[in-house]
Amino acid sequence: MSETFANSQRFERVPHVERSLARGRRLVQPLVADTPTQLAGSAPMIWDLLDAHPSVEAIVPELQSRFTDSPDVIAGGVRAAISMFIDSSLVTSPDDVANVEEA
Amino acid sequence: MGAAERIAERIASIGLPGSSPDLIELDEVGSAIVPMLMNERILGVAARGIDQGALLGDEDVIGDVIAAHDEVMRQTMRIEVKAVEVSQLFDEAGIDHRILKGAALAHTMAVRPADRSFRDVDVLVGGDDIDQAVQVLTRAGSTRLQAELRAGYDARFGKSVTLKSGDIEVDIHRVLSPGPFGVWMKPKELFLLRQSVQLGGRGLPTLDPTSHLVHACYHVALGQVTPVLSNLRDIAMLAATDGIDFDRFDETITRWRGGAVIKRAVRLAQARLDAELPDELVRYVHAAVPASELEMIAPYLTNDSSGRFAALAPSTLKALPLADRPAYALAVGLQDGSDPVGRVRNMLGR
Repeated sequence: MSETFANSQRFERVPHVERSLARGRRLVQPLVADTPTQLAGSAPMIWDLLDAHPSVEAIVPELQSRFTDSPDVIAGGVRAAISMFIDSSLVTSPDDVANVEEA
Repeated sequence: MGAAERIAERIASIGLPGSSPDLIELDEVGSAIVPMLMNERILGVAARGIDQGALLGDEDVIGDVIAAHDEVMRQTMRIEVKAVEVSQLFDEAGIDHRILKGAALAHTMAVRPADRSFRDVDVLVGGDDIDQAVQVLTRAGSTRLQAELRAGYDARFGKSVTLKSGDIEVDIHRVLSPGPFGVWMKPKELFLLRQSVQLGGRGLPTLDPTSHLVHACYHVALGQVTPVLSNLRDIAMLAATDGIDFDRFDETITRWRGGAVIKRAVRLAQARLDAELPDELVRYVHAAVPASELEMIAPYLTNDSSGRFAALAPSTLKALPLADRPAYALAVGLQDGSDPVGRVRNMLGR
């Protein structure tokens, strides 16, 4: 599992190709990877939102307008999805670079 | 015609203009439909049909179709990543190029990219650039599958050069088809208009829609005796897109002496698809075509892919300008005109 990150931390999707599969699933393959990662459940929606809303705190309000769950529950789901994106090398964080440079 | 073939043709027609919106039941053929959909390269249309409720069947059959589509998409995406890499290498080397067929059509013409699978990377370059293009890919680790017949052959007479990068084939095209119809086409015209397809964060250059339609017709008519349904569907989908300039299409076909090609392509599409093709295409079926063009179709119609080059060599020679014939004949072994097919076979077998 990926390390913890703040809800304000920004993420960028790596250069990739992708395909929508039957039953709402998605395949995403970074250009530098040999095989794609499958996204299912709410992960494809969060993946799409991440393009224009680069952090947990930016995505949650978008999902609040679509679902009745509490912000905390939604944030938990978004964090889980982003953790999976990190573990699958689908995203990078410019904030990590900034932190390294500051240190 | 068997039940599986009939159902495959109905699936290939999903969403085409004028197609019947009836539900398609898979239970009659069960999972036997899967290899048929794979061979006809229409698993993506079937998967979308399942999502839209247009395909019905036992959950096991539906699951088999979805699993097969998933696997094909995994392969297709690896090839798409290779297309991005090839385009980037050509950009860096200053080689003007156009991504052809599947990788481009999946993102421009298909309802969704997952509808359209493809099995290799096809890219068009100018004849003057083909040697450099081969060098660029070879330096990057690709291997050329067949040696050049004679120095200068690729740039002057070749249809394409095939390289292998890992297990992925990359076809660098100089023209869109082999044989006499390749001789008659004017590939530089394909570079006049440019469209881009966004892949992996890059804009890859490809043909404009009208040129894609020309290519789709040539591929269907001259590629295989029985073209796959995916390629027939390309024609119907492209013909229905807004960007087609049928006046320019007609002018191109006239200049390229391709009336017989379009006639055959449209006939094949009409025979197997439940779709209304535009009048601008259908009229080619009834149009008079010079006998000199019609007779050039015959050598293409062989299922023996290894004998195809030999079958096309005599008609290619006939189509070439007089000044080019000696060099072509020397390259493929037709110099004295005796037993040309045998001589070409011998040469390729050396």
